[in-house]
Amino acid sequence: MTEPLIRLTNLSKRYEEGGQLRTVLENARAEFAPGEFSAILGKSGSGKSTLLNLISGIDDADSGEVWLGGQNLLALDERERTLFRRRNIGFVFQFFNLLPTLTVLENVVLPLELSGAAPKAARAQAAPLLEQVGLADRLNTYPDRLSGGEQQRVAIARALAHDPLLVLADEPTGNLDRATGETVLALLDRLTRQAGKNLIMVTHSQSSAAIADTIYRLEGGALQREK
Amino acid sequence: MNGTPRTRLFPRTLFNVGWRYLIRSPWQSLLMILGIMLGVSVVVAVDVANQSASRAFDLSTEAVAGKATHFIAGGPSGLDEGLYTDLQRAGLTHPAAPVVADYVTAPELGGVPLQLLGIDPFSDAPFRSYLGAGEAPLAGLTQFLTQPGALVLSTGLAERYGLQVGDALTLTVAGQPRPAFVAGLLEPADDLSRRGLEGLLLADISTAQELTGKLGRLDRIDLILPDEAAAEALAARLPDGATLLPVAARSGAVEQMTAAFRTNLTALSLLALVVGVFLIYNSMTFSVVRRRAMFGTLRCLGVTRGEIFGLVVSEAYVVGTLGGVLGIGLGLLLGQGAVRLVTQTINDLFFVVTVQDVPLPWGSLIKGTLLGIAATVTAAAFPAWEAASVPPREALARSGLERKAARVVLWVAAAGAAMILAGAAVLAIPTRDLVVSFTGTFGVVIGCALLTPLATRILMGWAAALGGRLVGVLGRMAPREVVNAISRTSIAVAALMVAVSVSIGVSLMVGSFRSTVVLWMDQILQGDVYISVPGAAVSEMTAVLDPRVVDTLEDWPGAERVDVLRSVTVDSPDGPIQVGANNNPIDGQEQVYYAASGTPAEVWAAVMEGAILVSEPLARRLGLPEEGGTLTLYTDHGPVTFPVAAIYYDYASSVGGAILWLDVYRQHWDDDALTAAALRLDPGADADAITAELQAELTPVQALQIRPNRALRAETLAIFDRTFAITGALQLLATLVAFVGVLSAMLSLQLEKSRQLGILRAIGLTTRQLWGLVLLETGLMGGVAGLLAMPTGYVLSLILVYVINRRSFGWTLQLQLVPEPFMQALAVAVLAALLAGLYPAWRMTRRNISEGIRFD
Repeated sequence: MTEPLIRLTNLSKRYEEGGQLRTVLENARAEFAPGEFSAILGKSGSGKSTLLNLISGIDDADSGEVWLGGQNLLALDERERTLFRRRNIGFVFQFFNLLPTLTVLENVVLPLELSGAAPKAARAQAAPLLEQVGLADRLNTYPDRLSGGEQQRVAIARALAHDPLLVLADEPTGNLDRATGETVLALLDRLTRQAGKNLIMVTHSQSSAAIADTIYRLEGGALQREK
Repeated sequence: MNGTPRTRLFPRTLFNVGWRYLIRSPWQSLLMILGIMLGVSVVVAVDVANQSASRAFDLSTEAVAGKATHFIAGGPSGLDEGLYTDLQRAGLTHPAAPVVADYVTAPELGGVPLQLLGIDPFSDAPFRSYLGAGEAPLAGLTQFLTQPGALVLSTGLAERYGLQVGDALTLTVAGQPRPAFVAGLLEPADDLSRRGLEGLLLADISTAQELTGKLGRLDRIDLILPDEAAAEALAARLPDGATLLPVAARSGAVEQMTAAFRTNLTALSLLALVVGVFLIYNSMTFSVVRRRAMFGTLRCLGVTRGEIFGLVVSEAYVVGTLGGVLGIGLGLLLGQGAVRLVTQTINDLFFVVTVQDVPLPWGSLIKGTLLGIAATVTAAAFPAWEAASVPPREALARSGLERKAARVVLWVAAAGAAMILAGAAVLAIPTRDLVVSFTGTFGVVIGCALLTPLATRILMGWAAALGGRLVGVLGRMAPREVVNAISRTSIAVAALMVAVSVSIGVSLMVGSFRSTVVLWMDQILQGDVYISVPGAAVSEMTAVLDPRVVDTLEDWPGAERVDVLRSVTVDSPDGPIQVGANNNPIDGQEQVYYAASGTPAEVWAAVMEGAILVSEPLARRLGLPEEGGTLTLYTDHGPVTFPVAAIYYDYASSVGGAILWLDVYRQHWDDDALTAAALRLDPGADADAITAELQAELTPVQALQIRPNRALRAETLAIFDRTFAITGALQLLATLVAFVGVLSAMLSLQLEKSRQLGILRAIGLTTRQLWGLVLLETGLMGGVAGLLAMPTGYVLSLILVYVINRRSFGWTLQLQLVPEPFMQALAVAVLAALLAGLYPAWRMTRRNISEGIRFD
């Protein structure tokens, strides 16, 4: 059996709200094989984004472990986690979160430069990716001149640019119309599979989740595999 | 898994994120640059003025004193010139040179005070290099030595006024016109010599004696002595009335006099920079808050905290450098005006100094740039730390900072209270060190500023309740908006509050000072008509009245009595001291005493017996006790220790002076000359008419200043107002910086709320209501700043009156609490805030509603 690339072990997370503790995750467990596209389904407020935050190391769990490529993320300090994220994780956000002061090309170049690529090499690497997402003619455009679908396509290129182990997508179609959402999702699926990357996507949409290899449902703080 | 890659120190694309933000937010960036530019320019201008005046004084001292280590001084009438030859004959082996020096003016030389230096070219070479062999050849030496009125000036001075060799000059010396001419020009060897010689006219010693009326007299004999033993040996051989003094004693004391004045100006200029720091802090916080989502994204992409910190600080660095460089340019321009004001004040209050040009002050430029950058980077450090320290998850939530700010408001207030107490404790330290005093003052002011967020929150709560009752929802909304963005609005309020409180504090201090001076003048200026000789500058009032003038006055019809005054500068172990000796039999009753051993009549009786009165500034400078002190002066018959009968208030000079009975003065100094006279007229006599008659009668005898009491008071107050002109200018600039701060804050706040305002417009808010909402918000901020500035300004005025003034100048002032500065400050704060709201309100009403709603 293939060794899983990502393993979540007994992850628990609680928040204090109005003087009361609210449990978001309770001993959540899951394993993701290399190159797998997994969807995590759940209602609003079910803790999907919290789970994504823990997998990416931008939040701390109360207990449990997040293993990614043989490294327990929660055992790293803040700086080590940041550098780990820089090298191994790509993000696609619901609201695109492109950097408004950078052009389309520069948004994709940034993760490459952060990973140590020289500016010229980074540009040479970023341009074909943007061509793949159909934005070869918008390289020097600023994000505010792009439509939502175009912005999300830039975000996909940015997420894959530095050859990460894992791409995390947080409701990537949540801010797009249905047709555009489907196009973007198909693009995300195609490119991550083509690159042989793992993709974990959280969504509340059953239809979006349908194209994933595996589906987990997050309910009452626990992860249940459905597919 | 990707291994550790080669990381670049600061990726270029990340740098683009920063500087493009500055370019894409031009208004905010410009306002930040403008704020720091104004702050730096004020500091540079004051520094340039202080340095120029100080340097000009040093250079003229160097030019005049040369390489002398000591000098022999006489009393007010100088030394007998025979002393020089006696010393030579007695085998004085050390270099010695006789000198006659006086301040003169000439219309051909711009009417500015210049020092006439009479020297002996044959003995002067070891002292002053510009007459040395070959270094600066002197044309026409024969003429210089032989022709009456022959003067030599530097080529720079001659070029400035278009003079050539042979041109005639009319010198005014002690109110008398004296013909002279340009006998030669000196080509200074270097730039320093050039500037040193700018304020100097050289003459042969006999020419100088003729021009100044000091025939047979010397002002001093310069000496180069190898060690203290030689000095002691020489001092023992000197006759009574001749005192050997080290050169440093005189120049050091003079330098000290202006130190407090210059420190005060520097402190006030730093206040403008502090207000600028608030502005930068505010703007940087805004820029961080606006970009929280972006920083969150960057953190998700793997940008470290250090890199985020570096990004924000590097933006601040760019702003600070630009603001600093532009501030230097503006500072140099303002400096030209400041030099004039500072030089005028030094001439009015301390000593004569001539600043002909302002050299490029590299020290000031470097200081200004570094201050600009340091202030900006320091102000940006906290917002940068804030941007860097928030975890990415929280960074994606916009309200994170405000939640945090709301929590820390109480802690900030507690820190403010602690800072006020610490500042008060520092002020309570009994020291004359102004740096300590200003540190305490800054502590109190910044402590008050730290109370602003809590006070703003409380006052806005009240405003919301009142606004709701009066205007409805919109009335509640404006104050709540201020509280919702407390991390930024409170900084803008604090900046404006500090600037306005400084305005209140300084206005109260200046007003109190003015009213104290008026009361003091009422008491001491009891004469009806005052007669004196115009000096080269106000501080140089030792020129002598022609004896015929005094004779004329004594017989003048309508004059009940003539009081005469001899004003001289005499040396003491503590440096030069201004002594006024008069024959006013009731002067004791006309003085106002800080401390006295007995009634005014008893005090004056003691003075007539040989005691001395000492002014408050002098008593403080010398640390004299309130009773039982003594003052030693070098008289023509050796050092004499006078008992101090009383300490009197004196606002004429911060240098400090002393009063003697004229007969007592003449016992100790061989000097019959008089400096000024005051006529007491018979009841009903017309002072203006008598003034006119005296002018007609006496002008042919001597050029005099003859002024009725009222005119003298007016002139004194004019000098007073001139002294505080630069203070007013600095105050205005600090308020301008604060205004820029509020404008910047309002602009950013309103931009941030574009979406919300768009929604309000969409649901039916008219443009008029939008104007009202925005202006109500800014007006409330201005109102809070004005209200908080009132107690802060009052506290500041107490510190300025009872601590800073007393320690700086030795003056005790009576605090006059009047409502005008408070009302004006409130009006200025509200007006500045309302003005700052105009542009954002206009911009918001012009904005397309759908665009506003879409904006995120």
